[in-house]
Amino acid sequence: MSRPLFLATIRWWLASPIRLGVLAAAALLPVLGSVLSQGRLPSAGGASELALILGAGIIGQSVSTGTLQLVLARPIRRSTFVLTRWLAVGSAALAIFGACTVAAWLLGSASGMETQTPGDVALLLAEAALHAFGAAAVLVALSALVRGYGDIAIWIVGTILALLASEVGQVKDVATLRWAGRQTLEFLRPSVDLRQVLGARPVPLSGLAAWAFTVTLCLAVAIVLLNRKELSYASSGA
Amino acid sequence: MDGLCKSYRRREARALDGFSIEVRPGEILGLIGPNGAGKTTFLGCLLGFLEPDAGRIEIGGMAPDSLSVRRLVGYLPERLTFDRWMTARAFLRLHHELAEQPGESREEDVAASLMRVQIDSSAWDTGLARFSRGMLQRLGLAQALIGRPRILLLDEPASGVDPAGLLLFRQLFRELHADGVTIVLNSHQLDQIERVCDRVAFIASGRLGQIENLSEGADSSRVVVVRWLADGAPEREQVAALGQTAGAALLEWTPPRAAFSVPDDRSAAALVRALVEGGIAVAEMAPREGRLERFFT
Repeated sequence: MSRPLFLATIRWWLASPIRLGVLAAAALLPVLGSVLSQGRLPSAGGASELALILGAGIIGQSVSTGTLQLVLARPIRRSTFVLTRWLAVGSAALAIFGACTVAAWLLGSASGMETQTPGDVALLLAEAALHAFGAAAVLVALSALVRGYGDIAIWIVGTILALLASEVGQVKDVATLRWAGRQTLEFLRPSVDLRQVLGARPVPLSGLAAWAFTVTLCLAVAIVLLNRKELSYASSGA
Repeated sequence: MDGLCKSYRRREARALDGFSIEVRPGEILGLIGPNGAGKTTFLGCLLGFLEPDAGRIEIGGMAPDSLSVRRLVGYLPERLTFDRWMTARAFLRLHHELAEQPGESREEDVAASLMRVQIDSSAWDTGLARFSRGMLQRLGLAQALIGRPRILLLDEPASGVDPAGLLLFRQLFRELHADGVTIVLNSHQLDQIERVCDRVAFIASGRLGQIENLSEGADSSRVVVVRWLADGAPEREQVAALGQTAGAALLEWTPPRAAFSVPDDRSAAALVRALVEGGIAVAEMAPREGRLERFFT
């Protein structure tokens, strides 16, 4: 990982008021919901949404603005660039989600609501970590594929199509369509239900293995795509 | 760089077509040529940003995209694609760290770089979105110099720079040259190229057309304009005859100036001597066109 790139990514987010506004809404609404719902903690899936907001254009913007050229003229491997951006998105999403979750939990405890145990909170945060780093990996792969903010557009369109396929498959009773829709959704939002995993005996590792496979595949695809990308603006006709 | 070929998907013509050149250590090599000639593609290949279809590139025996080469290279792109939300100081700090420079000298090095390109200290903590084109160009050069590179690849470095900036850049190039830094300079500003480069490569249609060694004399014929002090009043016939003795032909007569065609440097020197010995108080002699302009005519 490259420390300066990691920190520069955080500063890039902080310099964008629109992104910060959307991020604040996505982070604080679940806390509000938690307070209103008598101390129920936010869903771990919220970490995915934060990762999607943070990860929009995470590589594609650097390619389309041309800032990537200056970075890669330095002794930085393209794979390091990809992995640093992935870590930045995943860890920032998890940190924000974690802070909000702990705040909601403390608020609930202070106001005497029925709250979860510290163990429940820890399990939720572990699950959120899988959500955050999973969604970050998917977005990094999409971002290496298209310029600008095309990654988030592809993700949204993909999610809508997958939901439609799933619904149509359900209504028309077409198992293949239902399966394809579900698989696409699972790919776009890699996650693991840790409560289910840890509650079963023997512990089923297939869910964790599927998550690890998706994340590894996405990062490998992102690295290959970026390695093959030609960066000179001469290629655009200069 | 040997036999380099490079094509782009959307263009029929090759951007580089069997391009071969050797850049000598410590020299300033200028690149000139019409738009689309392949100059930026050449720099892209040198940086390892573009994968050639054929041919070989080595920098000090290493591949251009190896990290060891990147530690030696400073790069200024033609399109200044900086993160506009950064300040000048933060931008250079980032590149100082990316260039693996020691943290303890970061602030000092960054300040020295900003001072070297004469960016006023009041602008050091200003967002780059508020920088003019000329200031960005200065900052771009400061960025390229971060990490004390031994090789500098500069694409139109003086584009949009004011006259004071041009003089500064020229002075910096001379200092870097004296330090033994190898510079590849792509520029449309022939005057600047002629003043700072050791050699100039003329590129056209992706091929190396000609290399002009500016540190050697010019063998080509050209037109020189002579001006003499107005207090003497030579006759046209006298001046033409003196020119003929030196092998120069009088082309234009506009006292106190006259334009001569000279076949080479030796003849130009003989012309000055003949005019002076003929009693004409020569004040100056200068080529009508820059030495590199003939490539474009």
